[in-house]
Amino acid sequence: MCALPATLGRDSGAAAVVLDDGTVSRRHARLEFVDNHLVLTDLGSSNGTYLNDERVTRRVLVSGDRMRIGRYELTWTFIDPETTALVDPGQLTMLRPVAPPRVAARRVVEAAEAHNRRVGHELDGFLSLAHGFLPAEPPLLAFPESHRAWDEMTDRLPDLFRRLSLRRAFDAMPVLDARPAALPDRYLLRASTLLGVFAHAYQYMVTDPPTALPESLLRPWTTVSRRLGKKIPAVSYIDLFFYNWRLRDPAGPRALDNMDLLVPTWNNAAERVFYLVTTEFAMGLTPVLGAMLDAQEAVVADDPAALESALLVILDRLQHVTQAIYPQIDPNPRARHPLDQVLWAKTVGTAGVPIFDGAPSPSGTAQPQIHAMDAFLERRDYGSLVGQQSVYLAGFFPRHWQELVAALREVSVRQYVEDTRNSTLRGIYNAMLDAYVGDRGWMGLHRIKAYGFLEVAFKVGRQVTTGARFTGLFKDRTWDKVDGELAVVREERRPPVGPPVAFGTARRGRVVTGESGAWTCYLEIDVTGQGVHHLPGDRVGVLAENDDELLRRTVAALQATGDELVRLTPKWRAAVAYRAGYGEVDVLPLRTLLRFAQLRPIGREVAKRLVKLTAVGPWQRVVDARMEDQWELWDVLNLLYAGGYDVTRLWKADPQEDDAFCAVIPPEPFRLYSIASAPPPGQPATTLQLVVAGLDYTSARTPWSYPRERQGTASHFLRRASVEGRHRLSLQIVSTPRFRLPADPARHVVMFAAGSGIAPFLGFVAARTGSGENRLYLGIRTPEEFVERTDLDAAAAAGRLKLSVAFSRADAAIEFDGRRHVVQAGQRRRVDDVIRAEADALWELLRSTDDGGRGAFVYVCGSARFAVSVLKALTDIVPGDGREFLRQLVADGRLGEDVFTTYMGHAQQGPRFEVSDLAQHTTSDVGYWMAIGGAVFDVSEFLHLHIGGPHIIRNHVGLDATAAYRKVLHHAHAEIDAQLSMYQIGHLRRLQFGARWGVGLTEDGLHALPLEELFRTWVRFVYLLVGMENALTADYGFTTSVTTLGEDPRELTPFKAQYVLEAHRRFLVSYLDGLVHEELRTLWQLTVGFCDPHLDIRSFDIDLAAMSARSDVGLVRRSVSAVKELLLAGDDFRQVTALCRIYPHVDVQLLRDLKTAVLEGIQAFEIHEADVVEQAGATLLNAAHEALAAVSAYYQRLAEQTRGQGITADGAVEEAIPVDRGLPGHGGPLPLPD
Amino acid sequence: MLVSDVMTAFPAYIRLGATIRRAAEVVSVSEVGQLMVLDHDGRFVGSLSEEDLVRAMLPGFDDVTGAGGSLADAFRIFLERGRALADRVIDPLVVRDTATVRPIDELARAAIVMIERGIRRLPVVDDGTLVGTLSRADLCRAVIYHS
Repeated sequence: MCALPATLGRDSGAAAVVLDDGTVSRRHARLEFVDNHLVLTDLGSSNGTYLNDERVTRRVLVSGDRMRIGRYELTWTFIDPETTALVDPGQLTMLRPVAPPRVAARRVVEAAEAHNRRVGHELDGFLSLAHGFLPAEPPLLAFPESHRAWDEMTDRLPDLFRRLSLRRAFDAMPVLDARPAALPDRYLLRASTLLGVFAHAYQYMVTDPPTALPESLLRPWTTVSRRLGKKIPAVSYIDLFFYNWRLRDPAGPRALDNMDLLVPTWNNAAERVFYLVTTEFAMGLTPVLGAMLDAQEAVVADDPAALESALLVILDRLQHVTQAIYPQIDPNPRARHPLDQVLWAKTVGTAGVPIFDGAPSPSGTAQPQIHAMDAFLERRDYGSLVGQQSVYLAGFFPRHWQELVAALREVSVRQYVEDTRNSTLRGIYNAMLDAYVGDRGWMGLHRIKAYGFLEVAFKVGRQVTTGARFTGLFKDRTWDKVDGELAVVREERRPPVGPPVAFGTARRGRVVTGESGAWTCYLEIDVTGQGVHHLPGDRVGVLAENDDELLRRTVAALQATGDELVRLTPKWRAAVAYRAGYGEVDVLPLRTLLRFAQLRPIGREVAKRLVKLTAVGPWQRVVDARMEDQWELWDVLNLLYAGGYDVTRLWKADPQEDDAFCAVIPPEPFRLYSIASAPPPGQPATTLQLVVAGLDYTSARTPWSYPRERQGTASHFLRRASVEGRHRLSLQIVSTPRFRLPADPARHVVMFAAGSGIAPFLGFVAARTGSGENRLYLGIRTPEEFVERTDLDAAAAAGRLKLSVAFSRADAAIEFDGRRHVVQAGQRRRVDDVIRAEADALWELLRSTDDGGRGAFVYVCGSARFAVSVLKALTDIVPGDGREFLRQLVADGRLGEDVFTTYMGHAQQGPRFEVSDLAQHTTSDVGYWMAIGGAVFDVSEFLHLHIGGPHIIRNHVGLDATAAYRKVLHHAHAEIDAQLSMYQIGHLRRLQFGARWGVGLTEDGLHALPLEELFRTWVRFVYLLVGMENALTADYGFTTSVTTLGEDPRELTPFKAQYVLEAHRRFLVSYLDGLVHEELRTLWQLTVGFCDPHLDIRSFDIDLAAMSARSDVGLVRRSVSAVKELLLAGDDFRQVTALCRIYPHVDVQLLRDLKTAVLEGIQAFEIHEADVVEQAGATLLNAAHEALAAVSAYYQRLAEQTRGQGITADGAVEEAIPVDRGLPGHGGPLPLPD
Repeated sequence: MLVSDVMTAFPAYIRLGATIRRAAEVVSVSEVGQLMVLDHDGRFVGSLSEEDLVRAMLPGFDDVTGAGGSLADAFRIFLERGRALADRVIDPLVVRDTATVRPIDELARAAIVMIERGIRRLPVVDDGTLVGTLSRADLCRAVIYHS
C-alpha cells in the first residue's frame, strides 16, 4: 500500500513503488488524485507506460484498467479511506504477489479445464472460468452419416405430436448402434440429449404411458447412458438445459433472442421460453464461478478489498439473472416471450418426469450452480424433502462438478467476514445472501413463480411435477403442500453474518410545512462504510421507535412502571437484534420493549388475538365492524380493563404463554421509503436521502370509535431523528426490480409524482446523465410545499430535465428561468389536467418506437388515487384503445409503479357488496371481481397487468382470494399491497345472525350449530364452485393455444383432443364426484337440520343413488374411455371432434347451473339474515334440491348428445383413478429394462 | 377459610343399584345437577351428573337413520329412550375417579381444581365417608357475599 501521489520507477530513492527492471526508467510514472479522479502520468520514460496495451502520457484510471510498465503488469486497487471502512492500511500492499494463493476450488477448475482440453470432450463435466457449468464447445449440430436417422427425427417431433402419430414413427425407426466403435465419445452428449428427448416424447405423447419403449430408443439410450456413467437411462439437467440449445447467429450473444432448442419436442412458445431462459440463466451466472474462487482466495490472502470486489460480482450477477433474465419467463400474453402456464402444464411441465423407477429427475434442485452456491455459503441443513432430493441428485453429477462442490466447502468466507467485524463486508455478504435466498432474491422469486405455475398446473390437472408425482382431488390444494416444501428448503440455506441490517446515522434535515399544516421532512442518512449498494428506485426499510408520549400512555394503560423486565420470544429476540446497540438480548425493560413494538394502529391479527384473550364485548363489536384500525394499543387496553380484563397479564405472563406481550404484539416492522438519491454506478452509497410525508389524522366518530388526533409512527420518528440529528437508524435495502430505469441511457423517461412521491425521481434524475430526455410532472398543493432543489435546477440547466409542477390549491405555476425553478402566477390544476393539456406531445413520447413514437419509459409514484388518475389520463390521450396501450406498456416493461397507501384512518369506505354479487363476477361480460381481506376488487383490467399473468387472477375471480394472496407474501410487500388498492371498489357486507342457532344431524351425531356457520358452509360451497368454474375454463382454454409449432390454433388436433378428454374425465372424477358426494351432501344435511325437522336426512342419498343408477350416468362415465379408444385408433376423428366440442360447453355450464341454484340460497341469507330459517327455510332446501337436479339434467343432456354421436360404449368400463405415488418420489410406471 | 366452613353438609346422594328414574327424581327434588353416589356400605364411590343422564338419551346418527331419519325422529327417539332408560340402574353412568376435597382443605385449593377442570360441585370426603359437597355457589357466598 502506498499513499498518493506515488511515483513508480526503478530508483528506490525516488519511487514509492520500485520496479526492478532495466527497461523501467528511474522515475517512470506517477499516480495521483486529481479532482476526484485517479490519474496516471508518464514522467517522460524511455520505454513508455501502457494502459490496456495502449501507450499513454496522461490518463484517468478506471476500475479494471491494466497498467504495464516494462515487463511488469500492475494490478491495483484504489482504497479511499473516506468511503470505505477497510481501515487497516498495514494489511495491504499496492503490489501484491502476482500469483495469489490457489484455493482447492481453483485447482479443481484448472484441472477440469486441462482435462477437457486434453481428452477432446467434456463428458466428465463442463467446467471452465469462461463458460462456468456450460459446455466450452457449443452443442454439436449433427451426427456422422451413420446416425442420420436420429438427426432427421429432430425436426419432425412437433408434427408427430400434433397428429398423435409419434409412437408409430419411432416404432419404425431403425435400431442404431451406440457402442464406442460406432459412435465416438464426442457425439455422446448429443446422443444423450436426443435420445432422452425422444424417449420422453414417446412416453408422454399420449396421456396413458406405453407398456415399453421401442427397441429403436431403448437399446441406444441404455448404451449411451451407461457410457456416461448412468445406471438407469434418464434425462438429466445437462440433456435438457445445458446441451439443448443452438445459436441462431453463431457470432451473436448467448441470449434468448439468439437461441433455438437443439431438439424441440412441441416447439411451442412455452417449451422454447422455459428451456432457453433456464439455459440463459445458467449462462448469466457464469462469472459467479470465478468470483467464488476469487473470494476464497481473498480470504486466504487476508485481502478484504479483493473479497469486497469478488462478493460484489456475485451480488451483481445474482441480481442480474433474477431481475433481468428470469423475468423473461413471462406469463403475460402481450410480453415479448409469453409463456402460458396452462400450455406449460400440459406439455413441458410433465415432460421431464423420469420414465424408469429410481431414475434421477432434471428438476431445479439438479442445478449445479445451486449446489456450488450452497457449498460456498455453507448450507448446513438438507433435511427437507426438497433438500434430500437435492442431495440425491447431486450424487448423479459428473466428476468435475462433484469435486468442485466438495472443494468449495474448504474455505469459509462467512467466518472471515464475521471475524473481521468489517461492516462493509458484512453489508455486502448479507446483501449477496439476500439476493440468493431472500424473499425477493433467486429462491424467493422462484418460490412465488413456482407457486403460480404449480397452482395453475394442478388446477388444470397436471398430475406429476418433475421432481415428484402428485394426484389429489381439486379441493385438497396439493400445490400448497408443494409450496410449503419450497418454503422449508429456503429456510435451510441461510447463515447470515449478524442480523441482515445496515446502520445509518441521521443528519439534521429540513421540515417543510404547507398551508394546511401538512408537513414533509427531507432527511439524509449517513451510511458510509456499511456496504450499502442500491440502484435508483430502490426502497429503504427503516425501523421506527415510538415516542415518549405514546410510551407513557401505554405504560399507564398496562398499569406498570415501565421498569418491569419482560422476557422475549424467539421472534422478538430476532427483531431486537436488528436494533443498533442491542444484539443478543433475552430480556428488556417493558418501556424499551414498548419503544420497539407496533403500538398503532391495531392490526387485524392483534385485534383478533385480543378478542380471543379477553372476551370483552365492546372490543368484539369493534373488531366485527373492522374498525380496530381506529384504535391504538393504549386506548384498547383501557377499554379491555374497563371490561374486566387483567391488563397486567401482558407483562407478567411467561413468553411461551398466549397472553404474553411478545406473543400478542408484534415488533415494529421495517417501514419502506423510496430512496431519493443515487450512488455512482457500482459504488456503495454514502448517503441515503429520504422524503418523508408527515402522517396526522383524526380517528373517526362512529359507534365503534371516537375522534382523537393520531400520528403516524414512522413519519414522526424520522422527523424527530432529523431534528435531533445523530440518531442511529436500522436500515434494510429493498430492491424494486419492477421500478428500474431503462438500461439504455438514450431512452426517454417520463415521471409522474404526487407530493412525497417525488422521492424516487430525485434518485432517477441524479442517475440519468445520458442523452435520453427526462420529464418530471409533480403534483403538490401550494407553493409553500415546493422545495427548491439545486440538483433539479442543475439538471434543468444542463438540459437533462423538464420539470412541470401542478398546484392543486393555488393559482401558481413553476417556470425555469435558466438558472432556477421559480414560482409564478398560473392556474390551479392537477397532474391529470396537465397530461390532457399536453396530450399530443406526451403521446408522441409514449408511443412505441415500432409505431414511430419515441418509446419513453413511464413511472408513477404517489398514492393509489393519484396513480389511478394518472393512468386514466394516459389512457385518454391515446388515440384509439387506451387500455390496450396501457396493457402493452406494462408487457413491454415500460410502466413502473411505486404506489403507496396514505393511511387516512378509515377502513369503512365505499359501497358494500354481497357474496352473491362477488360470485357472479367471473366472466368478461360482467367483469371480474375478487375479495381479499374483506375488501372487494374489480380486477377486470388488472388481469391484463398482473406480473404473474392472467391465469392466476382468473383462478381467483368471484371468490375470496385472501389465502392465495398471503401465500405469495403479497400482503407483506407494501408496494404490491398498495397497488391492489388502485382496484378496490368496496367491502363485503357482513351479515348479522345474532346468536341464532340450530341442530344438525351428521355422521358425528346431533350437534348445535350457529346459524352463521350454516351460512359459511353455503359460502364455502359457492366459492368451491366458482374456483372449479375458473379452473375448468382455463383447462379447456388450452384448445385455443398453439401447442405445436406451425399449427392453426383454431384446429382441434388429435393432440389437443386427448387433453379435452382428460380434462372431461377429471371433471367427472376429481370435481363432480367430490362436489356431489361430499360438499353438497353436507350442505344438505346441515340445512335440513335448520329448516325441516320432518325430512329424512337420507333422502339426499336416496336421490343420489337413484340418479347414479340411471343408464345416462353410466353411459356418460363409460363413454370417456370409449371415445379415447376411438381417438387413438385414429379411424374416424369426426365423432371425437364433435364430442370434444361438446364437453367443455356442458361441463362449464353445469358449474354455472349449480352456482345459480346455490346463489338462490345465498341470496335468501342475504335478504333475511337472522330470520332466514323462518322466512325462507323452504328456499334454502329448494336451492339444495335444485343443485342435485342440475347434476341430473347434466347427465341426461350429455348422454343424449353422446348417443347422438352414435356412441353407446357397450363394452367400455370407467377407468380407475391412478394410485397416488406421494411426495417425493422418482420415476414413472415403467419397470427397469434388464 | 376451610372447606368445612362453607360446604353444604347434607348433600343429595343416591346409592349404587338405584334406578335412573330414582336418580331423576332426586335431581328434580334437590335441584342440584350432581348427585353423590354411595355404595351399599355407605362409603363414597363417585358422582352422577344430570348431564350424563341427558346424554344417555341422545340418539346417534345410526339410531336416527334406523328410525325414520328426520330430526323429528331424532327428537322422538330422545323421549323414547328416556322412558326405556328409566328402569335401568345408574351404575354404568357413575363417574368413579372424581376429584374430591377434604373438610380441612383450604377453600382456594378447592376453587382452583373446580375452575381448571370445569367441576360445578365437589364431593367433600373424609376418610372414605361423604361429609358434604362444595358448589361454586357455596364459594361465592362465603368469599364474596359475606366478605
